[in-house]
Amino acid sequence: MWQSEIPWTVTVNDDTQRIARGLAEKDVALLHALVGQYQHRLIRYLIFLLGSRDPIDDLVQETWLRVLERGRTYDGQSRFEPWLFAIARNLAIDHTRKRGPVSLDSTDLSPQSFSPVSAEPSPFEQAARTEDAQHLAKTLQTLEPIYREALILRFQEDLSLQEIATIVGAPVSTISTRIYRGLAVLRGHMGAEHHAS
Amino acid sequence: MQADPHQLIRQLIDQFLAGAASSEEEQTLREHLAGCAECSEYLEDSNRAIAALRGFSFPVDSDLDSRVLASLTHGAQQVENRHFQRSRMWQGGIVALLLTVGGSFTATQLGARAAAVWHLSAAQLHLGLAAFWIAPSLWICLLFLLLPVSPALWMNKKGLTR
Repeated sequence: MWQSEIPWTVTVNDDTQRIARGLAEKDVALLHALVGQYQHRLIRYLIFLLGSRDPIDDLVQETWLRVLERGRTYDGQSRFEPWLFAIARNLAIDHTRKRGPVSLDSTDLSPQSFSPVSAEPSPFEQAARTEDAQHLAKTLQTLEPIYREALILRFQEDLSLQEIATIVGAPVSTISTRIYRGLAVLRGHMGAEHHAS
Repeated sequence: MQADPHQLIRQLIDQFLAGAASSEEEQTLREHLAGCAECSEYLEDSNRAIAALRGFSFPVDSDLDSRVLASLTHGAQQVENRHFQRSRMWQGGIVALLLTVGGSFTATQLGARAAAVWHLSAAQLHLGLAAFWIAPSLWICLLFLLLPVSPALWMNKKGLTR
């Protein structure tokens, strides 16, 4: 019943310190290891954030180059993931601003801004591996990006509310609200599917 | 009008799932859910939605991995080159400054004596000082700037990298 229990404690450990030292020294071997370890999570986060696969490759490359350039700003006092995702988020926002006058935080944002109506399956439909995920794919595509982002960081990346707030640059209460609202949409959809079946 | 207790519990469930519930609130939840099918179903629906959310797997393009690794290697080399250049510039600047200061001191001590011995005018003395300590210090500064941009690059050319 409590399958969503998530460890709350974030501890600074030898691993985060080792990463901080390696980034400060521009250790290429460490960077390669980090790419191997975090690449798929970075891609998943960006797809959930933007709702599209199109700009992901360039954003991923820019993110890792930014990690290389700003490695000294990571002090190892917290987990690496929030720092990495914050970099990716800022680059994604810059990317969306170049595309036009839209904002990830805009409640008027149309999710179709990132994924124009197309006959091709959405990245969520292509990536769904379970029956429930397939049912959820269309809902995710039309869900507000800020809700999608909060949900994936909380329930897939297992980040704490404080860590998510740091990435997004919003208060913890705002993050909580986004999670509640996003979950309500998903729950409503799952409930409708369940009753329909 | 009293608040619906089930609504309050559902809010607690949301808080718990979001990671915002205290241990006391969790205890309250457990006690209520032990005897409430409606709220248990709400939790079950929520967990099902979360599980569905975790049911996505996005493939990673191996070409993208290769491009990223190559750009990082290249980027790290560029950073090292820039660092080496800056280091060399600083070293050259310090050496030139030391020569300038040292030369100025020497010139003040010996200049007048030399001018007397060789019957030099003030203009000739100044010209000599410029030729024998200002110019060398500048050349040493340039020498540092013209050195290979990175020891690693030099080693790479010589096939000395691992």
